[in-house]
Amino acid sequence: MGDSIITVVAILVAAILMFVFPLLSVAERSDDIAQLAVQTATIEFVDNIRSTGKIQESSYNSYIQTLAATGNSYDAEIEVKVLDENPGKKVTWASGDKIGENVYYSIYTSQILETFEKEREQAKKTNDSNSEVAYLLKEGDMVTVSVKNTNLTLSQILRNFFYSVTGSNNYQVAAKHSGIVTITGTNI
Amino acid sequence: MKVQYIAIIFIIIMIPLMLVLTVYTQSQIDNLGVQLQYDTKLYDATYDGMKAFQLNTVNNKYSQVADSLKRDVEAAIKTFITSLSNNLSLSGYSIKDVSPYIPSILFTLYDGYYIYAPTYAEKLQEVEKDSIDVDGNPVKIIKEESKTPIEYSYENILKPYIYYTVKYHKNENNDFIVNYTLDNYIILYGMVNGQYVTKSGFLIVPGKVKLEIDKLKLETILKRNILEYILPLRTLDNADQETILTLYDRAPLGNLRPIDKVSLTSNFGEKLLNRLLTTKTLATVNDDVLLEEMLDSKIDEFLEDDDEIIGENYIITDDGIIDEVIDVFKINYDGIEISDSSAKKYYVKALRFTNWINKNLPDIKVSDAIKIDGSQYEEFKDNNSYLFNTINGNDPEDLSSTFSQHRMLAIRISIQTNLNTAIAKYNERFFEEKTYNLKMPLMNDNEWEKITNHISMATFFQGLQIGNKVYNNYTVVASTENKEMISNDNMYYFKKDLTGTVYYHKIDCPNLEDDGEIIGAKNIDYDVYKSRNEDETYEYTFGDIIEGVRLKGRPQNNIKQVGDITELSACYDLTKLYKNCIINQNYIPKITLNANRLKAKYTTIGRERNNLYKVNEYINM
Repeated sequence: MGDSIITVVAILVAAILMFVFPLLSVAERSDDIAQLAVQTATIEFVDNIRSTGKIQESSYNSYIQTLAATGNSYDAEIEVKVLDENPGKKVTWASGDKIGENVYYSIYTSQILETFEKEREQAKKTNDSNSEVAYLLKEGDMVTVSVKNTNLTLSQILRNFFYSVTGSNNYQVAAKHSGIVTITGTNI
Repeated sequence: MKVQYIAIIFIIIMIPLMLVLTVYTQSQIDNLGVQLQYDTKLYDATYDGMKAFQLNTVNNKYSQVADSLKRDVEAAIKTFITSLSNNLSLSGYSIKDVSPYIPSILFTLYDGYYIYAPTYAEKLQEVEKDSIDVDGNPVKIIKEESKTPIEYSYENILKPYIYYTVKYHKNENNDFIVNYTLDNYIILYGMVNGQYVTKSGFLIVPGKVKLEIDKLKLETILKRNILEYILPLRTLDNADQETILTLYDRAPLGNLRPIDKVSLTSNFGEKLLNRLLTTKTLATVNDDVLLEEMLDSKIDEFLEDDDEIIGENYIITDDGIIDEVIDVFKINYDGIEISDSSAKKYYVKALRFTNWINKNLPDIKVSDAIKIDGSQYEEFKDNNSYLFNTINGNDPEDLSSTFSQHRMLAIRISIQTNLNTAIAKYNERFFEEKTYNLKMPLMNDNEWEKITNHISMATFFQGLQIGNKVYNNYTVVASTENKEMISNDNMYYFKKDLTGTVYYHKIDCPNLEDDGEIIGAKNIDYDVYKSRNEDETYEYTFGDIIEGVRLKGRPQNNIKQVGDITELSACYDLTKLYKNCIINQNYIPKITLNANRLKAKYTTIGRERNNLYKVNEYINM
């Protein structure tokens, strides 16, 4: 009797060791790869914005596609800090007799996407099929893109099964990149 | 064997495998991560270099002088290398530690480019020789003996400036060199239709410019200039004795300036020549009848032919004369009347140059381009489009036109060849030491488009060991804020709003009010520079614009204003004079340009281009 219990336990342990453990390991590798892909894509996307001075809809779409190709769902946030060169007149919280206090104000993903949409409508209205849909930036603006996965990846599920580290803000794949825009963008 | 033993053996085999794999994958990932970080650092450092160049050239009054500009380029490169070594956490190390891994830096300017590369230099043996000093005493001087180099070394230097030139050979009579620039300005020298010419100017579509002449104004000006002031000492021009007569300015005797050339085959020319032949001296012609005739024929010439507006050089030689004569023209560009005189000069000069090109080089094809050794370019030999014929659809300002495509490709070929050589040469030495081959990377079309249309800096960083890989990348940063070139994208237009704040806008900005005149200037003119004096006061240097008034004449970059705004506490070097229009915050559809805006746009670009100092403009004189 005691023997067969031990056998059952042994089979369970063996099963876990032989199947779940390798699976966990493979799942973690695949997350690593996803992490790498996401990081690369993010850096390329941001550097492209910095060197062209504009956020093109086409490059945004292909960035989102690259993210989706890793098999996870992501929350990608773009933040643009627009440089408000501010030499004379001041906003209310700064004194009015100084020149050159530069202020940044922020633009977020939703506003950028809204711009894309309106630009597309505008292009349709004017029958201008050549015009590029893009959000223009200028030299000195700062752009930040941060992305993290919103689903549970396989390795997260497995890990949660063994030792619980869940929380609502827990993510496995994340990347962030930012930089200063180096050229004033223009529509082609 | 019991099942648990099998499991344990499996684990014993698998765990090391997994561990090794994990470590390996992780190291690869780390490597890639480092590589990506380096990419960004390289980009940041290159931007720092470009920013330094922008700051330096704007503050440098003499930046158009080649040597001075070279110094700015050198400073930019130094900034880049310093910034790169700081970014790579190598600070404290000298530039020498980083620079071996920089096989070259490309710096493209308006009409040519610099390559910065480690260059092979030989140090020659020094030999003492007997000589005498100024007082006649014998001394030993050290003279370098060229035959026995004792030392070879690589030095990081700026190689000589290379112009964007292409040679064209159609036949013996049409064999010339064109120096391209980053826009539609070209410089041409060589044999054209059997004559040696040197010309430079902006190439445009001639059909876009319409010239009309205000006869009354013309008469007044000609009367004043020609009858009372200018004419005429005269000589026959040596080069074209038979056909051209040069007229000289009489006013400052002893300082003769050729002010006009008159073709002897023209009506007026014949009359004048006859008159001169009868007097047979170089005395002044004070004959009222002749001068009246001359005036008439000048007016006729004006009215008859846009090409030969007034003699050959009347309009171009002297700015004082242009200013008056330019008032005579009513100029329409693209259906918009241009009234600013600087802008008018640009359009008149461009039109005259374009007409000359179209008349003399209508059948030069892209395939006529040849290399220095006389062979044809692979890239051009099958292209039979007419290169300089801008009458039908070949708009040099449009990047897809034959001219622009050819210009960009020609610049690209020149850069590729020279950069490749520079890197390959350096590689010979580098390979001996590091067992790594440096190569010129393939750049994509977008990057080439940037390089061939903007002042730009391309940096290459290769051969640095990271983890178990070798780092190899390059980056291209273009500049839109500099005073070396003028393009539509660099223009801002300013307007005072109701509260008295002056905002500057892009031309298609909906917030730009349409009523009244819109004035624009290149973006760099909006900058205010701050410098600290010895007594801790600050001095501000404005660009061309102050409170909405554009100052006339040049130079304008040195208006200093002390006092008004010196309470500034923060210390920085540059800011904008006006407030940037906040268009991006909420989307407002861009508007199509109405006549008022188009006028502002054409006027601004014309004026700025006319005022841009062009090194080779003198060859038209």
